[in-house]
Amino acid sequence: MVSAGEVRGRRRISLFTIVNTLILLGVAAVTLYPFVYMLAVSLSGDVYVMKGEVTLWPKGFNLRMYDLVLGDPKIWSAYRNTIIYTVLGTAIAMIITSMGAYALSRSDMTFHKGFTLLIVFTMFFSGGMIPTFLVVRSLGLVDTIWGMVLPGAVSTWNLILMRTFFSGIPKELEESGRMDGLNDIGIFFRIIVPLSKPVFATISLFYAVGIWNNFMNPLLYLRNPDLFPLQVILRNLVLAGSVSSGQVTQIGGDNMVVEDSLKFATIMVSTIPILIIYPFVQKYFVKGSMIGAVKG
Amino acid sequence: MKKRKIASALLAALLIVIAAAGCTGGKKEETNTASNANAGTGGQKETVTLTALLDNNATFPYSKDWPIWKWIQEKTGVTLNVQTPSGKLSDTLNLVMASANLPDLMYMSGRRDSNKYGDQGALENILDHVDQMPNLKKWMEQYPEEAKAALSADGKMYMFPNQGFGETNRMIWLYREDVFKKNGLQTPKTYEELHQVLKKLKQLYPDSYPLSMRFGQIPDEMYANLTTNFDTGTDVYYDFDDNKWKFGPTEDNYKKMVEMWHTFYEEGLIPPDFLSIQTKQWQDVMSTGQSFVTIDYISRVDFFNNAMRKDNPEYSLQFMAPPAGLPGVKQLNPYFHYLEGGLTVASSSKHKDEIMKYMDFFYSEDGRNLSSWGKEGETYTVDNGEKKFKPEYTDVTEMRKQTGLQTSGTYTWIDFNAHLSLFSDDLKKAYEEAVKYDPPAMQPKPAFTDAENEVLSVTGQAVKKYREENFSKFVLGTRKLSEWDKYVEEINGLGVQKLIDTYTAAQQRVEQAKLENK
Amino acid sequence: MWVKQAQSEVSGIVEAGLPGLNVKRRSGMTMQSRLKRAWRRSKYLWLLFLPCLLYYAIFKYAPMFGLVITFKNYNVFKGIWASEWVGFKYYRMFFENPDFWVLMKNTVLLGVYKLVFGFPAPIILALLLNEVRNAVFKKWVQTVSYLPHFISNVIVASMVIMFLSPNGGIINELITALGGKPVNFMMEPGWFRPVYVLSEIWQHIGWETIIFLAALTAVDPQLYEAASIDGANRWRKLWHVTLPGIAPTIMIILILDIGKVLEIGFEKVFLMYNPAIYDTADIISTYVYRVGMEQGNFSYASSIDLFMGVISFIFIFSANFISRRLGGTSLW
Repeated sequence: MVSAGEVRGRRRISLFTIVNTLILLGVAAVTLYPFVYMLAVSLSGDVYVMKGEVTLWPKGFNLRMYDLVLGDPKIWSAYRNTIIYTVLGTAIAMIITSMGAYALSRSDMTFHKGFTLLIVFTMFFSGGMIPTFLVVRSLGLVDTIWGMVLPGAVSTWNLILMRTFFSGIPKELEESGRMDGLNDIGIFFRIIVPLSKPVFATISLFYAVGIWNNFMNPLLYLRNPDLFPLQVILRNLVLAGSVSSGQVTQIGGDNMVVEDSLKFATIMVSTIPILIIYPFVQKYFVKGSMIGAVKG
Repeated sequence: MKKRKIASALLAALLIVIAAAGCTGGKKEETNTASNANAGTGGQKETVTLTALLDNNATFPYSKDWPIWKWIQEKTGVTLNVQTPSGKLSDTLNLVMASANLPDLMYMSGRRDSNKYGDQGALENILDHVDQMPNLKKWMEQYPEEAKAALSADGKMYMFPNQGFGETNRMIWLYREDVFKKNGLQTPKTYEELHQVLKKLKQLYPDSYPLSMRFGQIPDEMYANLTTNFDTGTDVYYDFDDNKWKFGPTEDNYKKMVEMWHTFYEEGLIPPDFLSIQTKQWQDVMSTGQSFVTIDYISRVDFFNNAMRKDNPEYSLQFMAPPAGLPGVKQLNPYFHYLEGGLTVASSSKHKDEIMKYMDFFYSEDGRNLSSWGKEGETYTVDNGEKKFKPEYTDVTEMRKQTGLQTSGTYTWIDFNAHLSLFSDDLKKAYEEAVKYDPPAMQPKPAFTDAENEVLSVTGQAVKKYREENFSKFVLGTRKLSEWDKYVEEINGLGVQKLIDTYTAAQQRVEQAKLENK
Repeated sequence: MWVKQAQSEVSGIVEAGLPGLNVKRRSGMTMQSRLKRAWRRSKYLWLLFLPCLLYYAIFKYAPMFGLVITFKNYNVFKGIWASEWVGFKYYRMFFENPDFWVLMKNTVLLGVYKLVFGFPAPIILALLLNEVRNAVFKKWVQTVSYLPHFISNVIVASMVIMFLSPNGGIINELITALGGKPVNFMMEPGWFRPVYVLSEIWQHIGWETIIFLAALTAVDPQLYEAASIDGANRWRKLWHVTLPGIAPTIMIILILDIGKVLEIGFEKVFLMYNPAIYDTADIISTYVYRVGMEQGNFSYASSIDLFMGVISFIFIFSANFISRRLGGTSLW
């Protein structure tokens, strides 16, 4: 079924469409530029980079930096680690978060308010880096995969967002589930989960990107170089020669210049896989998909 | 029934996750203790394994396959079980200290860290073991200054001293020799002459900012250079003529320096955004002929020349003698050619004797040779009694990356000739010249107590912020120099005297301790 | 208007939850039987919530014993318990700091600017994207706009400084090309807040849009059809259908953002500022970094953090209270 408005819109291009397209093109240009710039620099010859002559297109095109990055065995083991942490971490996070979020979305749950406050409280007060480390260590999670996965298993922000989405689901659905003899757990898995694909896709994306980009957890909980994820390598590279931040005597001889082209090549290699996820998530952003499922 | 199943399945899953985590964690610790036990029983040469926390460098990240570890093992019988920080070393050190599970050896990047943790009781006083270390003992007689610099507030030594490597930390003035020559310009000996030269360059190249430096990236180093040129100090500093601590930023010489910089800024001789300039931007202007004079690390001579001559064979960046800020002031560079980092020993270690024996090796001629040159036949050859790296090692970084030589924890005493042998003639000349403009001695670095450190961090930071802020205001002209006296009054009000007193007290204590120890 | 729409929606939800509560009140049961009843009613929900609760207990609440270091002179090696008590020393130190009010003002202003301009930006982008008919173009813009989120602050800060430089920066080249005079952005205190806020928007707009795009999927297409039949134009549909549909999400994010007003990460500011703009750019988190973290004074740093946490909590509490009073969505 096509509505009258859509037919009209299709027939002629309105002023709004033009303006809107221009604005969006502007946004795209501004947000795309840094990536284009980094890509160009990573593909350019060193002299041109040093002179600052690269702005949009590579000059003195070469793949040397990519050879260097991809030829390093550390990158591959880091890749493997990052993928393991991201997949496992997202799966665990989604299970815990979605169940918790659904429970919290039910204002008829006893202690509903208390639990919510308990959670919001932690957004503002935390024990700090060292005490958290001590707890994680006492659980034996240091230098294990679980150290990368469990301490970040719930993000309060994501939990609350998910709860907000679940609250928007019409209550009749729960009622109908109850009439079919389902309890709350059954309702959640049988009715709510299948209906909430966009939400699950979105929050999974948030978690996956969060874990992929996380350098704090590895910094705290990993010592074994074999377990380092990509972000550790990337961050050390990017920070090298960047801020002296107090360690005055350390720079100089030991603080070699890392060429921008190497930094940018590493950024490209380590971010492109996670960038590609988004278009897949968009597949679920279909208007009314949730309601449609209800009616269907 | 179904509900139960789902619920119990969920619970089971959770339990499995937790149990699995517990297991892996547990296992890890077991293997750790096992290797420790091994090391403990193996007092003999072959099987000593020490745990070590070393620093990591992004340019040559730690590898356990580096040949250096094999060579060290051959010589000392020690294998290192190495951990590296996954982020900043200082953060990792804090965590390691908090967990009270210290590796035998720990690399620290500064004496402030080693003295702090030493005072807390985490580190072993190396001087207590010096009888076991004949080579170190001899070495300390040979290098008394370096040894003294490694002492803590109460005369203990928590970090192994080093020598030779600090050379690479030198900072110098650099200028474009080719551009100067082409235009018949002389290198300046004073700031007055510098001013004239820069003005001429600006006339010749109106689009340029002839003097440019990485103020946005390494401000502390830049202040140190400028204030040394003007015979004053960036902050609290030790005046070797008067033998006392003073505060630089309120002195007349400092005011003259600020005035000069204000002139530079007004006349467009330095970039308008000089305070935020980063390495990349600075490299751009230095390599494209938009700046001709700069201050930076000495190795920049080769860095620029090697890269730029591919494109422009004329390009020549060379050592320049530091200009004197005022008539009658000596031409000096700041004293930066020292290295503060080094290995420390955990007081809780069960292998102190083995560690001391191991470390003593690095103070022997044999050890020095190994850490500087590597292994004969594999990394270097001897020609007419002169050592030379094999041709595949084209520069120092490449050598470190491939062999692990001179990476964190593999050296204390370095034959700097090893480095020099890989440098270009220009850079070698720069090293020869730079020595002539060294200050009489390194700024003393007295070790502070906890309470003193607190004063330095709170009052010290307030003063630092205020002086930096006002330096920029005076230079940019947003504050008039006629307000100088007011500025002096204000900054004194923030507690300058308290800082001077703190330094003086700490210094006295150190000297006292040294006397008592003797 | 749309707030009202949301109101009725939410009150509907609340009512749905109410009957159980009413029963409880009316019958006036004993504590025990009330608990029993609660157990019977909520046990499955509790079970669903249990992993979450465990997580918070272990990873969030257990480490909170560490907060005692704000009253101690924390010695890392000795450990928390063996460190000596110092009472409110570090709090006093912070309040007596001559810079206290400047830091506070800078933090609040920067946070408020960020909220006022940064909060609506992704909503606007989401609504604009929502109007795009061409699916390919829409997806492309969406994907491209979220790219900057993946660039670390270190790189972003250095790019901002480079692009804004009066000496060859791309923005200033543009300004001069248009006949303007180059602006010394990074050296003039007045420019810091706009530059920072804009760079934040630029960095995160695409990312934050995702959540609103997801929320838009929950709007019933039939409502649009009905509006079209009523002859509503684009604006009326936006006003009466789209916005009310995503209002709960907007409100929740607004409340959360208000709670985060003072929480400005130190890293980006630290990398962007310089002494010439301390007047506007030095904020509490950069101060904490310089004086606390960098100097290893954890007690001082934690004390300031705790103090800021209290203020932030008051903020979010008030925001939530007001939102609930206005009949809108609320966190609890």
